[in-house]
Amino acid sequence: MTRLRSAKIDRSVAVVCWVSAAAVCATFGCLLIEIIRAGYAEVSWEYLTSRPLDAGRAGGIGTVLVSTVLVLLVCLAVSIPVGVGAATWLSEFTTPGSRRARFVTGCVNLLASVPSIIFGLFGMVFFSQMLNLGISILSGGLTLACMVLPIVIQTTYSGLRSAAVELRLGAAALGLSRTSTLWYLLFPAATNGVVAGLLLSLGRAMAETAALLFTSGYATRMPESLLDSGRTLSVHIYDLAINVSGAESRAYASAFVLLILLLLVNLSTSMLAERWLRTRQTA
Amino acid sequence: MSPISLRLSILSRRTVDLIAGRWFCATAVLAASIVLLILVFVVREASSALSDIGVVRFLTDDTWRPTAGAKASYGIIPMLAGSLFVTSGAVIVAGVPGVLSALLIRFYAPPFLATIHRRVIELLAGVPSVVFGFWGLVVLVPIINRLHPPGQSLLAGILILSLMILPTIALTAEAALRGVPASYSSAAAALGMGRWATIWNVSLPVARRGILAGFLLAATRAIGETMAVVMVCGNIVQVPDSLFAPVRTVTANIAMEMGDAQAEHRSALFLTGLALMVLVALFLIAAGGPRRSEVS
Amino acid sequence: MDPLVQLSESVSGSSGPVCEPGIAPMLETRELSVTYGSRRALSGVSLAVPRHQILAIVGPSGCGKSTFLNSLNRLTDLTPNCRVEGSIRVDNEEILNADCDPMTLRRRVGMVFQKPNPFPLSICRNLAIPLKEHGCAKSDMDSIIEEAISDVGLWDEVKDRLNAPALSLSGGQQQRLCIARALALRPEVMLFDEPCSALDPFSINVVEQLIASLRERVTIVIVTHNLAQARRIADQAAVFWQRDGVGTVIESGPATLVFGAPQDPEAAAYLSGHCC
Ligand SMILES: Nc1ncnc2c1ncn2[C@@H]1O[C@H](COP(=O)(O)OP(=O)(O)OP(=O)(O)O)[C@@H](O)[C@H]1O
Ligand SMILES: [Mg+2]
Repeated sequence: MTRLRSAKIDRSVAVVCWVSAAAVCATFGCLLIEIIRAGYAEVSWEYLTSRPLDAGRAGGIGTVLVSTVLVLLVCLAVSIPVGVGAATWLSEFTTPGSRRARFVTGCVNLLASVPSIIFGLFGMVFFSQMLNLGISILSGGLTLACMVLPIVIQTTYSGLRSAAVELRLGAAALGLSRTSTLWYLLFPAATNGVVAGLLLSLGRAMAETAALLFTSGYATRMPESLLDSGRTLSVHIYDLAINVSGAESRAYASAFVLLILLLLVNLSTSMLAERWLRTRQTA
Repeated sequence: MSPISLRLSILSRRTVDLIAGRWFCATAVLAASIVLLILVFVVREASSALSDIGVVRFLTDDTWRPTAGAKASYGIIPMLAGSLFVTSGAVIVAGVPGVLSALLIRFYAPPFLATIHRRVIELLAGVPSVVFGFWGLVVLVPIINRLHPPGQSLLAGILILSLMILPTIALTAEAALRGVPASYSSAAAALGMGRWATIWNVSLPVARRGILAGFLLAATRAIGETMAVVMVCGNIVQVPDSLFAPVRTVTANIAMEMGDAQAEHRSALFLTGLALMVLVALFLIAAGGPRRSEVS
Repeated sequence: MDPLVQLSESVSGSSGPVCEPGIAPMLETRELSVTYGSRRALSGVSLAVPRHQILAIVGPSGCGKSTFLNSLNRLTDLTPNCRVEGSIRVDNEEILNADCDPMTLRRRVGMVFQKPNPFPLSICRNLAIPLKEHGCAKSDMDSIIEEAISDVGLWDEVKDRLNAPALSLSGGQQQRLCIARALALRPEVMLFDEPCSALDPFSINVVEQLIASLRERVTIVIVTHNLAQARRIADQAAVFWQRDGVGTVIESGPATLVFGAPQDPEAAAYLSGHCC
């Protein structure tokens, strides 16, 4: 009797699961289709290369793309070396579980939970004002670097840890120095982790808006140096949607471009992850 | 391998090791210090508001009007309420479909479809908040407006945020369910328990902690969210009296006013930022420790 | 060549396993004890191995054989809060002193592990990296690599695919590659920690004969669970045992004596297979 009831519940739960999953996918599909439908029509080579005119109502997003790339480059150029270094220290130069290691890990995990708007506040006070970098691409990139640092550290750390203990022992038994062990054996083993961290950071940084409002600003002209202000694509979308009336179609187009870029980054991340998983299983 | 070249190389190797160790240590110190720096600077900037205005006024003033000169008021309760309403609403709305998605991936869907659904959810997680906000503004808000003007409302915020945090809930729940040892469910199956009975009596109870932690992580993400909320919530400082009333969250307030805030006002905004950090910290403590970065 | 080395070579070549008086043993420990944190793993180990002889260490699991081996090349440094006390002399040089460079020591004292652990690189790189690390000139590299691989009898099997991944070799070949990798550094002492226990019977035979033949060039300490193997190749032998949870040596000396007429009753029982 209860068996029958249980089977009945099972079937209803299955139905509910499918329905709710379908609803989620449908909503997501609506979002995608809406942006793609309205955005695709607006996007042209012209649009991608010319600078915004009339507060973005006309013209394109050429300079915005340049600023975006510059901010991302600054972000990665800082976060990758620092993140890889910190992960290396955590994994190879300190005892896991020691007080120092726990302190650093704790701080990094806390950093991962800080809301992005707080990063914006911090970047504004620290990079723009205290370090006197002003509202600039450099300030914005550094702020984002702080934000994505935990991602880089986490992925690199797991990459390093995936290298077997025997590898380290073997290297030590041959009298290899720490640096050589890292260089010849551990970094190659951690490459996957670093690349995953790079892609995840790229996606996260590209999507970020709040942390950039007060750090890299809204300027639409072509940045001449890293100390110029320059708006990123996501800030551009926000500005068009909120502050500029009559620019909706342009906002769609920018959202379309941003979405495509992010889909590319995310798809390559998960495809790489899957490939690595498979090679690890067969190896 | 003459002895001389050997000794030289050992000396240089030691130096290289030493320098490398220093560098790695320095980067680790840098990485650890960022969160401390953030705390220090936010507190420093908020300190003049703390001493000149005082916590009491922040908690008792009934509205937020920091630019009104002598009659300025600094009540952050309406905005805190806004943040908490939006967050809890989003967690409630996203919770059920999130867990159901995890169940589907884990138990009900054939592997092929499960992978696809997982991939869809991962992609959803990658959509930037500004795009969510924009979509909410141009699609969702007009729909709500037809139901009950003005459209930009608590409800719009809740719906958009729930879409944003659903992946967090679904993926952590899925991971928690995956973490349930297979031996448990096979033991249940050996006792003749059906699929649902196994899920209900074995899998869900064992994975409960992980799933709840996922809810709290989603809540930290929701309460810190800025852009989507700014774009769809209407941003009127008030304790909302219905789902259709506009609200302003703490994060939205900072994003809107920081651009041209001066002196007291600016410091007060930092204080609201500090309040936000305290809320996040509370969620983290409830979730049992800080969030690991979202990769595993 | 060092006259002392020559002398001892002629000695060990001609005479029996007994340590010739007046000639310092190649490897000697005195009152060696090792603790992991607060847990003592090994205490009071005093052993000596004459030049170009093989010391076989046997004993039940967990009695500190690997710990002893790891302390001989200071691999114990890698284990946090592992403390080594007493004295270890390699070629009459105290290696527990602070001024002894562990990296150089590990070149002189090579080690091969139970599980073959080639680097996940090409066969050639496996040898080239440690050689480069220890300052081997580029011009000598190829000949040293070829010599080392030939020494372990692997040359004909791999000479056409030196750039193939080392992990594509069979288990026995991998283990021989690991031995070659250590030999290429011209060590004076080689430590083997159960080198055959992860191999198939055929490879065991090959590796065992290889180790026995290395006696001509290096001093060897080998840990093995295979008593027959120990009997076949050892010049010296030591039986480790756990007393009150602490590992120690209960029987040691020339292999013929240890295996033929053990003094300690527990060792006797163990060696005759009547125990555990
Ligand atoms: N890294 C470590 N930390 C703490 N204790 C350890 C560590 N390594 C070994 N031990 C302890 O030291 C003792 C000796 O271990 P060891 O590995 O030397 O034994 P063994 O004789 O090599 O055993 P087996 O024959 O199984 O290899 C064991 O009781 C073990 O628990
Ligand atoms: Mg052992």
